[in-house]
Amino acid sequence: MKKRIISSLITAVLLMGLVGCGGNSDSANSTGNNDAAQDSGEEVTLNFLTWRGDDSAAYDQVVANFNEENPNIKVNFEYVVDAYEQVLTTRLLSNDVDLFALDGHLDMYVDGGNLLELTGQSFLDNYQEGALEPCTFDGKVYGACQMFCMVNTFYNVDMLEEMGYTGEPKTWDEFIEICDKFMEKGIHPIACGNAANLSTQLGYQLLVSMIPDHSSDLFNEIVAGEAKMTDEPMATVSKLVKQVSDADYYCEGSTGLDKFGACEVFMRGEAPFLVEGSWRAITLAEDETLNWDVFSISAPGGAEDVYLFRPAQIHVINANTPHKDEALKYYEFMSRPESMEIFSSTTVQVPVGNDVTVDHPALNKVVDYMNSHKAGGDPQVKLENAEIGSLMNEYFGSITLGTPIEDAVATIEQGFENMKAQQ
Amino acid sequence: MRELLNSKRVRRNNAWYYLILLLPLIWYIFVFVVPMVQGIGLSLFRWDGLSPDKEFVGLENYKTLALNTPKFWPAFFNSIKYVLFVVIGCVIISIFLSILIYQKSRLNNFFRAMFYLPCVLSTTAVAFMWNNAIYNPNIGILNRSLEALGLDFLTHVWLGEPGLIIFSIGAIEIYMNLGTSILLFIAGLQDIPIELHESARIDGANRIQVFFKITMPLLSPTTSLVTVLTMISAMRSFDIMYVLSNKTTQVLATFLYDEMFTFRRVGTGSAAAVVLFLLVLVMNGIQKLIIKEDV
Repeated sequence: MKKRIISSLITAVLLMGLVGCGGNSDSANSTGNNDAAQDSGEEVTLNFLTWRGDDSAAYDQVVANFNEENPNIKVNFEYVVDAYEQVLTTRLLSNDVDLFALDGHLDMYVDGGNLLELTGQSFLDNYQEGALEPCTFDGKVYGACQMFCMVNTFYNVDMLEEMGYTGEPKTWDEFIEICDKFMEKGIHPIACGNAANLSTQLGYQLLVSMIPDHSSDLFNEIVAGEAKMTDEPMATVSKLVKQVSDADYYCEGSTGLDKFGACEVFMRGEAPFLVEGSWRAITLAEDETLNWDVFSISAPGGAEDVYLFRPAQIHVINANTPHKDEALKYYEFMSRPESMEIFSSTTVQVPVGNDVTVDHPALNKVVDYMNSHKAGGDPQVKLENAEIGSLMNEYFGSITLGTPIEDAVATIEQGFENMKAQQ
Repeated sequence: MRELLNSKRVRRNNAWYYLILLLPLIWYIFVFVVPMVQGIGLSLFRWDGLSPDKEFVGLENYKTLALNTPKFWPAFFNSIKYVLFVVIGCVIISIFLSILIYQKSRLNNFFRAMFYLPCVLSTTAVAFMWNNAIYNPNIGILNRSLEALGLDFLTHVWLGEPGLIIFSIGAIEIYMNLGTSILLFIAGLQDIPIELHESARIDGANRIQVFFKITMPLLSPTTSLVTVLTMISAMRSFDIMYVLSNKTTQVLATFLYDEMFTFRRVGTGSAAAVVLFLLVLVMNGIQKLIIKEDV
């Protein structure tokens, strides 16, 4: 009898566990209940998935303002820093996300029918054309970028002045000359997160200076066989990236540093240059004593007034969300100039809205540079396959680690062939 | 009559117990077996993971992995290297530490708690701590300590040198698995009758002989269990690898993640998952042959 009582208790606990396992699907399906709830003015929750936890303060402010107008619509931001693609795929398949962020490759999601078309929505008029172009396919708009960035190099103004240089290096030769002077002092001048193959950012800056109007098409052409890795401009870019690593300009241990580690090296004043992107300005802004500025490295003979323009952080709506009206309502609210201003000033990113200006000391440096230079196309923005970007990262990373260029070329060309064979 | 009544009672009790076992079995089937079978099924298709269309390609994905995916075999052999390092390191260190902790001391419980602490920490938090505080080539404790001891020649870029990354990350995996392994070994040591040690000493055996001739053979079931658990944990290791390794050093878990979610090749990713599963089975079989449990 006693055994039966114990067995019954164990069974009850197991049954409770099974019911608990069904909890998630309940919450996903509760969106169906929320339709009726919304009609009666009861609460609706929108799930918004993104990886940029850095922006949480901005989102909190915008959502708080949104809730003053729409108290019955809650926006639940979820920040997934690791394995974002996996979590997003799982949530899309279970239809447990209403809005989410992407950083390119919208075509995959467009082909899969995952994105709500936004063409014709009045709030799109608030965005500059550059914010909509990466999100437009066959004339249909599926989202909008929330920040304009550039791939650039930061430099420590004070360290360069101590060496006798005012302002950024204007040419490649001047850049190398400065690096050599620091090397003579025992300072490895370039902080770069080479554990994450961020020397790619150096390669991209050089590339865009050589073919600013054509850089966003080059990689697709190489894969299609219309251009080669051994042709110009890639041949020169590869040699220059190799020149930097062979000269040991990268800070000590750079192959073991990620982007944050490299940023710390720069912020501690151990290297005068940081190869990164303007999205890092928010981190640098934390140290008010750090006197930094931005520039884009140009290749010899390349344009000196060009930077790599990268529209980023695309926000889209799940095509299958049962809360389309609420999602559009939130999207419209976050697209208002005042919301964009809050977002840009809090995240220290360049605003994407028409007539939206933000006054922030760190941001002003980036905006001033962008306004005084020409935007060159991002090689990664319209890649036909995500693996192309990954292979390019590994290409530049392997050259930085000392692989001969011809071996790196052979490896990446084999990678392109394998990629095409699997399509 | 009495026998008849007892037989009926036994059958009634057995039926009740089978019913209770049915519930976790159903749970196990739906949570583990069904997804596993689905994964094997997906390995026979070409699919991007999002669109409604799937194309049946049979064993083509396996052929592609073996012949046309340069990253697959390095990931495969890295997985084996990683598992061997983690298992051997974890077993040896945890046996040593469990014997130390097993000695009667007031601090036993304290040490048990300390060694178990990493098991309850988030993997990402542990990875972050090791990346920034220990392995950082410029300010990390490891390199700074080696320099302070005059062992500069031993400093390395622990997460940057291709030949070293697997072992650097393996050390973190060992760190995270030590707690559970130590507790299991302590439980195994407690099962060894003290009389056996005493009689061995009376017969003239020294401590080392007692350890190798009596303790270790009697610990072999526990050693086998720890080996299996650590092996499975190391094979499945994804979080630490994904966060810390540069993209040129992969194991099967990170390779299949990239295939499935970064490059949207669910078919080849699932095929890699099946290969991982088979590798675990094979290594488990080899482990059974090496470590004899029937002492």
